[in-house]
Amino acid sequence: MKTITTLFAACGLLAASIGQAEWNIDLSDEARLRVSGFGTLGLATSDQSHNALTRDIADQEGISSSSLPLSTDSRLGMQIDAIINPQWSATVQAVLKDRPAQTIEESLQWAFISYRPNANWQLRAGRVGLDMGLVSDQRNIGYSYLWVRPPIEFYGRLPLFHFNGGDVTYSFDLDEVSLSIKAFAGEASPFYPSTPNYNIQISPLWGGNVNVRWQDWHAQLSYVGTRLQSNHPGLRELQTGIEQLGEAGFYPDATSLSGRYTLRGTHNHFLSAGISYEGDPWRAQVEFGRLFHGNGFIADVYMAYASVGYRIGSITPFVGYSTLWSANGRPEAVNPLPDPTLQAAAERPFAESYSNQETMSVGGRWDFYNNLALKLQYDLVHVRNSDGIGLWRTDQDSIPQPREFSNMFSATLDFVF
Amino acid sequence: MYFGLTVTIRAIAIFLLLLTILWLDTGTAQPRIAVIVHPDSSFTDLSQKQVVDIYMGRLLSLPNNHIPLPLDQQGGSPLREHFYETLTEKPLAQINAYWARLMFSGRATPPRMLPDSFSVLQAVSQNRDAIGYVEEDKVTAAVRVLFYIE
Repeated sequence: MKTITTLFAACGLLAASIGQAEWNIDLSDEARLRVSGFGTLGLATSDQSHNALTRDIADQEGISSSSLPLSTDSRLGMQIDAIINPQWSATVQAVLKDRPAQTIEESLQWAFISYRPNANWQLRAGRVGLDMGLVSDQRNIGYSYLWVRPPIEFYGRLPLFHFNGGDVTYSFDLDEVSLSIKAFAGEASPFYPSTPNYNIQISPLWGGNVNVRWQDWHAQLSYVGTRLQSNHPGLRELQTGIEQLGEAGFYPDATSLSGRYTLRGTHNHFLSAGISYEGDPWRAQVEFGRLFHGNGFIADVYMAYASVGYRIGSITPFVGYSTLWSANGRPEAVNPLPDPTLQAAAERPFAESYSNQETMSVGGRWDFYNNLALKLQYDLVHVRNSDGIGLWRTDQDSIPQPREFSNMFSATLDFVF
Repeated sequence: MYFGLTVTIRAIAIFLLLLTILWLDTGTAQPRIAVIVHPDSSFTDLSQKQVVDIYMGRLLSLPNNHIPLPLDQQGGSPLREHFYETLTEKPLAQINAYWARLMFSGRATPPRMLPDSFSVLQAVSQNRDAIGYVEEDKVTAAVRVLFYIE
């Protein structure tokens, strides 16, 4: 812990001292390497002790009074851009944060080559950011937004940050309005939270978005589709258990029931629409999303948030509201399995993904130095149904049971260099 | 770890204290800024809006297919602050956040920063596609002034 704190303190000081200029290594008249970085030193706690609210479902610790206060929001990123000429460049970014598997491969956020044949087209190939909402590919860069973290109710159910493949963007202007259309495709294999050594195989992943920008306004419509290629080990165990019951003659529908519990071959779809206004002194942002899971046992969700900030000098106070609710009821009842442990296991995926909660936030961002910002935020989290616990984690041997209301306090120091 | 009420109140009090200190903002007179290009540049009729769009990464090439190379001043310098605040009507922190978003999401690279006006003058005088800005009184015959910013 102490090492991490020292590391961040050192980076903060480094940011303060070198953020004044930038690191460039000239390779020729035109080509150069640009080294830059960003980070967040974040503290968060709540008045819940055994139930922790996660930043997103890949967050290991979550926020509670007993979790490590630094773990959820702290991160450190380094980026190297190799700018060959105005057409060609290459970018590599690594991010250190708390995650299900601490491997170099997982730390690698982006690693791609970008080609701009002219001002209208951009092609990127390699590992690129997943662009599926106004802040999706900048979630790690606390300095770029107002809040201490992206609204949990919206981005909490979207743990995917990048994929291997490519994207194509076409941009053009119509009078004062800039339009850009992006399409992407690839595959991904993120580690699954709380299941050691298991990563979900996603192939293919595809999608696109349309962006309209006018003055300080930005509107985006986006879509992402995924097909899953592997089943979760917990679900495989459940399938085996059901099949064994069937073979022993205790459960006649065993084959059809067992067949339901697979992620393999299922499709997921995410649709979102957002509008932001980045003026001065006002700033505002609204997003709405819908996540469909192509299986009957993980709850589909609607999500939305709105936030408004108003700058006074170097301080921007803001308020926000975000909400998440499950779109479908419980899956249709089947004959209960004769084994209560198996029956509990069969109900668990839905119970653990069922989400129904809202958060009211108030906070402030203080841009006290060129490239350093201090943020404070208070969140009042309301779990609407006692079973809407999809974003919660517990240290008890049960499904999370948070209180209906909880108070969350966060402070972050965000920097770029 | 538990944040006691007193700790929270103390934190808020410190925050408010720092806030009041910040209110004592200083306003010093700024020199005029000259936006400069190479004497043989093909961008001699750029409008102020085009210059803003070039510096914000929104205008990547000009109608004559030339790719402008914008050059920026040192990060926290008053000159840079004045340049962006006048042209974009936004505080520098918001411009930095804007570039952090574009750069770290891998969409675009911000204008290259040079350590001082001397370096900017030198670079602009040597590159026909370069655009820079310096204090009015630093302008030399080796560059051409597009316009001045008050």
